[in-house]
Parts: sequence; structure tokens; C-alpha cells
Amino acid sequence: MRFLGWHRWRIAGAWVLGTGTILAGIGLLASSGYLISAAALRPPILDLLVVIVSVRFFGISRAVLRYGERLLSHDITFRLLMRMRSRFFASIQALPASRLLGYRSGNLLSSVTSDIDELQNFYVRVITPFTVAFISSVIAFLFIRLFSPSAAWVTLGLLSVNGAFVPLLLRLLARGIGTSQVRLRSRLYRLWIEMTQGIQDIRLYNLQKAYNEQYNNLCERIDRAERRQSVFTGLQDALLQWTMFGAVIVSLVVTAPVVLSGELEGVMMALVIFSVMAAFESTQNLGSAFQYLESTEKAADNLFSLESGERPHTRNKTDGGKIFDSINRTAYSDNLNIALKSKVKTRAINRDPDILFEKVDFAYGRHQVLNGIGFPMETGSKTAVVGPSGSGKSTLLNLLLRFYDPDAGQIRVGGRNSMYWHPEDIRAAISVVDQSTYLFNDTLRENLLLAHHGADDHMLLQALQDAHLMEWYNMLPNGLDTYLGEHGKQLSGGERQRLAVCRALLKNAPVWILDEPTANLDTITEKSLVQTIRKALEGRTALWITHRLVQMDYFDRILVLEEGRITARGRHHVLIKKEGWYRDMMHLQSNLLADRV
Amino acid sequence: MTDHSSSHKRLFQLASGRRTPWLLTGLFSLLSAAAIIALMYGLSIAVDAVFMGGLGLPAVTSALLLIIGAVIARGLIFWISELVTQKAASEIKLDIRKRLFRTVQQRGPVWTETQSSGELAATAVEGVEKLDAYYARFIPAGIHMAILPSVIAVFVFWIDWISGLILVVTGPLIPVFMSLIGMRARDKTQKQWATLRRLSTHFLDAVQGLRTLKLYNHTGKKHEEIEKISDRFRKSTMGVLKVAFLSGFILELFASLATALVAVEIGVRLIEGQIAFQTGLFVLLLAPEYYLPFRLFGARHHAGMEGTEAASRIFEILEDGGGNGNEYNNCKPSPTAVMTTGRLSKDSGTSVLPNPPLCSPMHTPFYIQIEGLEYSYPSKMSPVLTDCSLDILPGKTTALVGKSGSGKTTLIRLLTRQITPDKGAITVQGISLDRIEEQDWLQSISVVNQNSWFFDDSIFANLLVSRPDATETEVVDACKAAGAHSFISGLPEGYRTRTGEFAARLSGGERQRISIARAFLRNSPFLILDEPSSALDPESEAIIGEALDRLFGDRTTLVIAHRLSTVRRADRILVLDDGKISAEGNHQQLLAGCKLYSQMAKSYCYNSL
Repeated sequence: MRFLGWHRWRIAGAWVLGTGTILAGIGLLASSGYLISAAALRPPILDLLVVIVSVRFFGISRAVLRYGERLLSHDITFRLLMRMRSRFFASIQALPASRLLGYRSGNLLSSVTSDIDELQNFYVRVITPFTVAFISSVIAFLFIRLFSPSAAWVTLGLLSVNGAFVPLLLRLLARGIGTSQVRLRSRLYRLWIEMTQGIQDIRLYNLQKAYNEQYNNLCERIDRAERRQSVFTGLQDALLQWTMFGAVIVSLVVTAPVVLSGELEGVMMALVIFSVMAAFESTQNLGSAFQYLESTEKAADNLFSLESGERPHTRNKTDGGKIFDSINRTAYSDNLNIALKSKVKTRAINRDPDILFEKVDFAYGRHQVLNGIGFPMETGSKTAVVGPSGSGKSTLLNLLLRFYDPDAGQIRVGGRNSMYWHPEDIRAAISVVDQSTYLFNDTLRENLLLAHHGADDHMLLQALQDAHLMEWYNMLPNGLDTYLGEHGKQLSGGERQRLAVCRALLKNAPVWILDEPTANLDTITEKSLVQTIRKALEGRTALWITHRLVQMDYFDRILVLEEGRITARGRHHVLIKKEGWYRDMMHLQSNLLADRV
Repeated sequence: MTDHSSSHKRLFQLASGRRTPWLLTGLFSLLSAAAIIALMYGLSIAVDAVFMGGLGLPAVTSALLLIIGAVIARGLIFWISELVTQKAASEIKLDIRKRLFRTVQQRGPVWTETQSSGELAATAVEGVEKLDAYYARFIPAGIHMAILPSVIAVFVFWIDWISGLILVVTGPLIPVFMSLIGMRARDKTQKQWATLRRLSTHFLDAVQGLRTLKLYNHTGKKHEEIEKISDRFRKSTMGVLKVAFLSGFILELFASLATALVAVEIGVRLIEGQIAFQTGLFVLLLAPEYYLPFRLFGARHHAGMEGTEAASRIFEILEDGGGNGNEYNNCKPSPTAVMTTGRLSKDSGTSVLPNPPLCSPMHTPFYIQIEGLEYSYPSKMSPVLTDCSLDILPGKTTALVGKSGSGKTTLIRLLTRQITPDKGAITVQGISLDRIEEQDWLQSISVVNQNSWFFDDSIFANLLVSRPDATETEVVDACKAAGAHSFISGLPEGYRTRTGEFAARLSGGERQRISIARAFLRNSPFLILDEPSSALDPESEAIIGEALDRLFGDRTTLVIAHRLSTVRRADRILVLDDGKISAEGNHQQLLAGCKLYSQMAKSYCYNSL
């Protein structure tokens, strides 16, 4: 994994410490065995001083090495996590932001971030145990071979059985059970969600019993699967014992004749037995390492499949990129942007730019969304885009903001093709109010400063007032320092939308885009929010996307967008006289509200 | 909040509910100690015979057989022990899962609304799973730690009291020192883990808000912030871990130093001829085994802590007394539910039915009378409904209007018996509602709203819930009447399309139409319509308006209205204000006579301006 390259010296250090720990364990037992064997021959005590000292040395160093290894491993984990997050953020921000919206991608992102959390285990719990086990097994093998080559080979063989073969075999045997458990648990999870979210309807349709049965059944199946699995985990425990002591028994059997024949000094016999026993510490934890290997593999798979899943949609040419593309690539696109910026930013976008769509075509993949769209937005004018849902209204916004670029035609901003502006310059000139206003889990102040760095409290309060939020603000416990909570959950829809307006006011951009800013609001709130926005729009250029035809005579120009084409345009009083979608909808609406108050 | 020590206690209580597995684990511990002693004895005999006695393999056959037998036995003990503990752990988890499900169902919709369903599900699935480590790993390790070392120590004491003394003195010091350090570090460590989780939420927050960050050209700054915060966190955590890992360090140090001490002490005595080589080797072989259970316990301690953390949330759900109000709908509340709800006294009179329940199927339009209803939510001080009285006339449409928070939803909850009134009564055809069998009552109601719920099956099956014996033509007819047929049949698999993804993509209007189709199928005598307060596009509004006209018919209908068009469709309009009905009449009468109504009507009319 390329992440490991970032901290190779630290990682090598952790490996050395880890291997050292196991070797110190072998050293401790081997020297102890040698000590008492040699002592049994009753030499002068001075002869054994070196051994006595080394027994103590190994005893202390083992503990010290283990401590160091744990600290270093955790340090590396945190560093890796930081790097992975940072890099993931860098690559994901290069994706077209319009793809990062919506129900599914929200879930997707949260699963991706937990995949990253999972991946951090890869180093400490997978790579390190394997490497350490491998190195220390080899060293133990070389050490034991000094005394008894046959015992050394037997040990090496059984070490690999113990560390690799047994875990792999058991995983293979229990694999079906493991995956069925995962499946059962995710079904259980879905059933819970269904039950809690549908609890009213479940009651109403008298389905409790059915749900209880289904749930209990599922739980019992999980219970049975777990118990079947325990047959294998128990077998694994037994096999690990058997291989370890098998190695001890065989070592005993093969060293006995060589001791008797005098090839091996008798004092070394206990040393060999102890070394063999201690060597098995190295493979002890590989069982869980295999488990983590599987889960991190899955996480990595998810991340990479995400990358390939993105491909068909990645149409845009400026912000393009795959989620887990190489860091170089991200750096490249950043450089490209910077290069573009330095080259083209000969002048800033002027204070009040006019905007012109010229024969703009755009398709998501094969799905043609916009066809030959052309219209002007003069400075200070108000343009409405209406039409049935799915007609491509929101795509206009994404194109103007350069989340996408047109396939054909161009959008001129301040007299110049938007492709030649840096996306950041364009976005700086536009305030957006849509329904997907994201509130960060931070203070109100931070959430507002986002729109205007360095604004002072007075300005923030003024903006809150202009967005008609003072009443709400006065009820906050800590004023501007109040935390808005996860996704601003405590806020009502109307408050959230007002905060969006408040941000837009603070940004003070000459152009405003509004994408159904009042969707999901009740009519009373809708009315007052619209008034707030209209007041803010005085003297600014605005593009307002809506599917509800309310007070349409406000607009200088109304565009009717149907299936990617502009089918009618003009002011309200003109359109209402023409046959077509607009008049039909207006009639429908007024029929609903026939006999007036 | 249930704190750690108390959730520890509760977990323990659950474990002690089943004695056998833990007694068996203790027995296995004893057997395993016996096996390891026999094993090491055999080893020491064999090495002694070869090294000191100069004997060949045939002479140590019996020792070898002893070793082999002990090894096999030890493996088998491990195996069986795993089966027993896993069975116990799985059974406890099964029990907790069932209890959780039951509890949440009993709590009902009013309580569930205050919870995040994802979090509840995660607690029941992953949270309960964490208890596995507690019961199948942590507790057995504790039992082993209590038994194995004691047996070995006693035995060593018996054959060589000096070594025995070393073991007996050092062994108990390990837990003492570990807990001393652990206590100092624990709070800090827990705080750090909590920060770690927050950090991960912060990151998710940044990723989900990316579009907004981009709109304000703020990504670069956020990126820096992520790095800075992570690094700061790493530094502070490492500071805490330096202390926290000391307990592991002490454990290792004691275990290895004591082993070294035993080796040296035996070596010295061997030179002086005070001890036989075989005895010395035997004791030295046993020394690491003595410390092994301590190390194992240390290694599993973290899993145990995670288990208790998860448990505290589980017990919180099982026992949470606040925020509910739904004991009414269990005819036989389980003892646990009653004990924990804390509102027992209030409901004990109604939940036990004094008279045989009335079970007549009600298929005639009926008359509902609501008298002096009073209700307050347990979490709120002031009552939502105060002395609310109204009639719902048979075969007529009654519209209920009022500002948000005026008690409209509470009234629906009372009518569908999700909650029980504190005071007052609801009667149906003159019969008190609490004397009607709940299912019979619910059978005669249809509720139409925008939050219709879908389970993971075909659309067809999802429609069928409202009348399981409906034929396919009836279902299609209902959808046609509800204006839902066109968009359902436009799907690639039509009525066979699985919900799931589909449900997520449905617009508010489409959801409502499916809900209306369910009501058509159910064809119940009483209809409750809870209108969404947000406006739809004109096309959907028109379709739904027509469908509702068909649905209302001669049915007894109660509408929580947000639309002027719906209000005008009603025969009677009631204005709910401050927990009681403040005005009644038709549209024109109320416009003239009720100030609140005319205010609201004006803002409804905003649609048509």
C-alpha cells in the first residue's frame, strides 16, 4: 500500500521493535533454560554470571520493546489516518460537486469515510503482525539451527502451519458461515429501520406479529450461525495448541538421540525446547490479522469500486477526477487549475457582470439534458426558469457555477467564455440559495463566516436581521457561539433556508442563483421568505429556478424549460396568453383556487 | 445516563442469570491447569532423563505419552470451552435483541420519533454484537485469570516453595498496578476516544458539506483544518497513551522479570545442590504459563470496555422512562415495560379492560364524539390539549385547521390510540374508545399522509398491506383512483418494482398518492387525512385534489388541512387554537367571524396571488 511509503522509517522502526520483543522473549526463555541446565552441572557461579545478566536483560528489554512498539504503532496509525483523510478530501473535492448531493451519495460518503477508518487498521493489525511474524520466525529458525537443524526445520514448518495454514484453513471452512452472518446482520439492521420508521403504519395494518416473528426468526438464525462458527474457532484454538506442542514434542524426540550421541551438548537441550516454545509467540496473533486483512480488503475494494463506479458519469473537464485517484493526479489537476488561473486571470470579473448562455448543450453520459439553450441575463435583471421536474433546470445552475462545463456552446460571464475563468472566480461572483444548504456541525459564527471571511459581529448580526432571523437568534443560548449540531438538525426548514439567505447576503455577490429556495416549506413561511429574498435581490442579477408559479409578474423574463429546450420565453402577461405548459399550469393552479376569498 | 460501573454491574447480572456456562468455564480452567501441569511435568521428566540420566527415548516413552495425552486434552478443552462460552454469549445477545425490539415496539411512535432510527438499529445490531467480546472473551478471560494461576501457584508452592513464593507475590501485584495506572488513565483515554469519534464526524461533515464549501471557495481552508486538527489530536492522544500503555508495560515487565527471577534463583540453588534439576526445570516451564492468563486478560480488557460502553446505551433504551406515552396499546404490558415507564399509575385504569371488549366490525359511517380531552407530553410542561371537545359527524368531512403546535397531530395520535388522554373521553357510536378492541378500531381507520412507509418488497406487496385479500385488479383500480397508476406502470417493472431505491426517489406528491391508493383499498368507514404543509407543484396538486374528491365520498373524514382547496372541500371547519376548539363553521362563516382563520386563509391564498 502506498500509504505506508509516507512513514517508512517509522514503520521500519515499529517492525524492529516488534521483532525485538519476540526475540527478547525467545532470549529470555532460552537463556533461562540454558542457565538451569548449566547450573545443574554445578560449575562455579562466576561462570554463569553472563547468563544470569542476559536473563535479566532479556526480561527487561522485552517489556520495554513491547511498550515502544505499541506507542510507535499507534502514532503511525494516527499519522496514516490523517494522511488518508487529507488525501481523500483532496481527491473528492476534485469531483463535480453536483454528484456529491442527494440521498444515495450522502450514504455513500458516510460509508466511504468509515471505510477509511477501517483502512487505518491495515498497517497496525495486518502488515505489522505478518512482517514481524515472518522476520522473527526466520531468526528463530536460524538460531535453533545452530543447535539442532532438524528441530529448526520442524519448528519452521509448524510455525507456518500455525501462523498461516491453520487460520487460512479455518477461514475457508467457516467462510460460508461468516458471510451468512454478515448478510443476516444487515437484514436485521434493515428490519430495525423498517420497524422504527414504519411503526405507525405497522400498527395500523396490524403487522406487529409478522414483524416480531420475522425478527425473532432472524435473531435465532444469527444465534445458530454464531454457534456453528464457534465450532471452527474452537477447533482453531485446539489446532494452534496442537501444532505448538507438536513442535516441542518433535524437537524433544529429534534432539534426544543427538544429545546421547554427544553431537549436541546436553546443556543445550532445554535451550532448544524453550526456544521452540517461545518462537510460537510470533504467530499467535495472526488469526486476527487474517480477519483484519479481510475487512480492510473489503474497505479498500469499496473505495476502488467507487472509483470505477464514478467513471461513466465523470463527464466534466475541469473538476474531473476519480475519488481514489493517485495523489499525483490530484496534484496535477490542482496545478492545471493554477496554471489556468495564472494564465487567464488578466483581469477580475467586473463588479456587475452580465451573463449570456449561447447554444448550450449538455448531457450526463448518454442522457441529453440541455439542447441549444440560449438566453441573456443583463445586469440587474431577474430571470425565472420554470418547467416540469426533470427538464434540466438545475443543470443550468451547475453549468453556470462550473460544476460542469457545456458540451457545446458557451456561457459568457462578463463578456468572456466561462471556461476561461477560474471556477473560484466565478463562484466568488455568485451567491447560491438552494434547498440543500449544508450547515456544518460548528458554531453559528463559523457557519456564517464561511460566506465572508473576517466579517465582524456587527455585520453578522445585520445579515441575520436582514434575513429575518433576529427572533430566532435571540432565543439561542450562546448567541453567535451556539453550536448548530449535526447537520443543523435542531433548525426548522424555514430557519435553515433563512440561514442560506443570510449567507448569501454576507457574501454580497452581484449575481444570485435561487434553486427552489422555498421547497419543503409551509406556505406561511414560504411567503415571508420570498419577501426577504426579493428585498435582498434589489439591484442584483438573479436566476430563479422554480416549479411553482407564484407572483410571476415580478420577473423580467420567464423561461419555460421542457425536456432540455426552452419552449417559451417572455414576461408573465405575454406567456399567459400563449398556449402551452405555462398557461396550462397557471389555469390548473387557479382552478385549484377557484372561488377566491 | 447509565454510567460505566453500573452497566458493568448489569452486564454481570445478565451473565449470572445463567450459571452453568460460567461454572463449566471454571471447570475447564481447572482441567486446563491440570493438563498444563501434566504436560510440563512430562517434559521435565523427559529432558531430565536424557540430559542428566543419559537415557534413550525408549526410557522416556511414558513421559512422552503423558505429554501427548496432555496436549491433546488441552486442545480439546479449549475447543469445548469455546463452544460453551459462545453459546452463552449468543443466547444473552439473542435475549437482549428480542427485548430491545419488544421495548421499542411498546414505546410506540411517539417515543421512536425522538430517536434516530439508524442509531437504534446500530445499537441493536452492532452494539449488541460488541457484547459478544464481553461475554465470549472478557468474562472467560477473567475466570481463567482467577483460577489457572492459583492452581499453578499452589502446585509450584507444593513442589518448591521458594519459587512458589515469587509467583504468589508477583502475580497479584499485576492487577493491582494495572488498575492503579488504569484508573488514572481511564478517564483521559475515554475522553480521547470520544474525541477520535468526533474527529471522524468532523471529517464526514466536511465531506458532506463539500458543495457548500466549494460555493464559498472554502475547500482549501477546510483541508488545512482537517490536517491541523488531526495532528493536534494525534499529539494529545499520544500523550495520554504514553500513560495508558504503562499498565501493559507493567504487566510485561512483571511477567518477564519474575520468570527471569525464578530462573536465576533456581540456577543458584542448582549450583549449591539444593534442588533437583527435574524440579527446577518443571518450575521454570510452569512460570510463563502462570503469567499467561494475566496477559490474556490485559489483551481482552479493551474489548470488555467497549462492551460496557455499548451496554450503557442498550440499557438506556431498555429503561428510558422519559419521552414515551404508549402503554395504552399493549393489552398486556410486560412487567419490565410497566416497571420502567413510570407512568403506570396514570394508565393502570385503562389498560386493564373491565368489560369484555366490543368486537363488532364497524362498516357503517359512524359518529365520533370527543369530550373534554386533555393531554400533555411527558417531556413538556404545559398540556398540548386542554379541554378539547368536538364531534366528527358520520358521512361528513370535518377539517381541522390551526397553527403548528396547536395540537392537531396530538389529536390524530389520540384517535389512533398511540397515546391515551390524560382526561376526557373519545366515544364511537356512544361506546368509549378504550372499550373497543384496538385492532378492530384500527381496522376501521385509514390514515393518509405524506410519510407513508414502505417495506422492502414489491410495490404491489406494499399496497396489499392495507387489505391482504385484495385481488390484483382491485389494487390496480385503487391506484387508478388515487392517480398513482400512471407513474407506477411507467416503471420498468411496474407493480413488481421493489421499493427500496424507488421509495427514496419518490416525490412528496407520489408518496401521498400511494398513501391514497392504500386508503382506497382499505375502504374503511373512517378516514384521517394529514395534509403536508409544504406546497407541491400545480400538476401534483391537481391530481391529488381529484383523487381526494373520490376518496372522501360519503366517508366520515377528519382532515388536518393546510390547503385552501382542501378546506373548501370540507363540510365543516374547526379551528384548533391553544389546545381547544375556538371556532366552528364553514369557510365563509369563519372568514367573517374568526380572526385567526382569516389570517391563515390569507397566507394560504398566497398560492394564488
